[in-house]
Amino acid sequence: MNYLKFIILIIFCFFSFFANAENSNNELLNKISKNIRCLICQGQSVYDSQSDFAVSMKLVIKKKLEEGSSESQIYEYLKNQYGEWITYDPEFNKNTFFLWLFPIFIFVIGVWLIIRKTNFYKL
Amino acid sequence: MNMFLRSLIVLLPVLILVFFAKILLVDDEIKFKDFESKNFPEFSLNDLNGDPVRAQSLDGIKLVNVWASWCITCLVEHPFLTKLSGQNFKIIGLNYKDDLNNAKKFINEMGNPYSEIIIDNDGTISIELGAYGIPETFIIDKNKIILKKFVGPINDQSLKEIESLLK
Repeated sequence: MNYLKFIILIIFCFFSFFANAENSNNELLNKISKNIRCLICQGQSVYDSQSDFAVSMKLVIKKKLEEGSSESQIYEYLKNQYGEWITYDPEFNKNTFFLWLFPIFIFVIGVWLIIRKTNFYKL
Repeated sequence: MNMFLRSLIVLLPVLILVFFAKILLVDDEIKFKDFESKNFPEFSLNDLNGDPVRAQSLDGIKLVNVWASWCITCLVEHPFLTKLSGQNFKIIGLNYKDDLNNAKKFINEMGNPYSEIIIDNDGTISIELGAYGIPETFIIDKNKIILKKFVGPINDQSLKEIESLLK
């Protein structure tokens, strides 16, 4: 009877391991596709879109995950195919430095204006 | 409030507006500018008759055209592809997510400019090629390196560019 329990436990662990692997792949697929732009629809991620190309893109990401590619390898692959544009999280480089620095510049100007306008030092 | 501060308050929103307008307007240019030469992806797919397509079928191929029978722009582009095939251009058709019967009907009615038609049923090879939509045409050299892609239908204007690339 104990042997039977042991075998059932082993089988249970075996299947739960694969179910877990499947779930983590699906979670990663969702995470990546949320950060990839839909190719033909404006302002939507691949995750949100049901367009033909978005569905194909999800299949390619899934295939890459099943082949054992990591998240960063998949981003690199897609950037290689479609350029930096494809991700919602652009790297800091000579084309994007303005995008990253401009909000900081605006923030500094804003703080400076508030200080000037409210006579901050006299409070 | 001094003059500098006043002009800054007026100018800043204008600057921000111009900045974002510029970003939005050049978005498409950024999108298509990043293309770099790369190898044609590996594939194992079938042709229109269900027979497997061998990698050797790509030997000597100069153009790969992504098309589908449901795509109206492909219908408009088709006579130009027929003209190109008449000029000894070897074209491979990559049939994107299509109904096989509709694709056969399209070819029977409109003529077949393709030396081979590959069926990309789930669209993954088109993505691995780097396609944005259909129709789209890729120029490949004798070493199976993709030299350029044309997004949208090709025409006489594109032909000049294709010829200069393949010289």
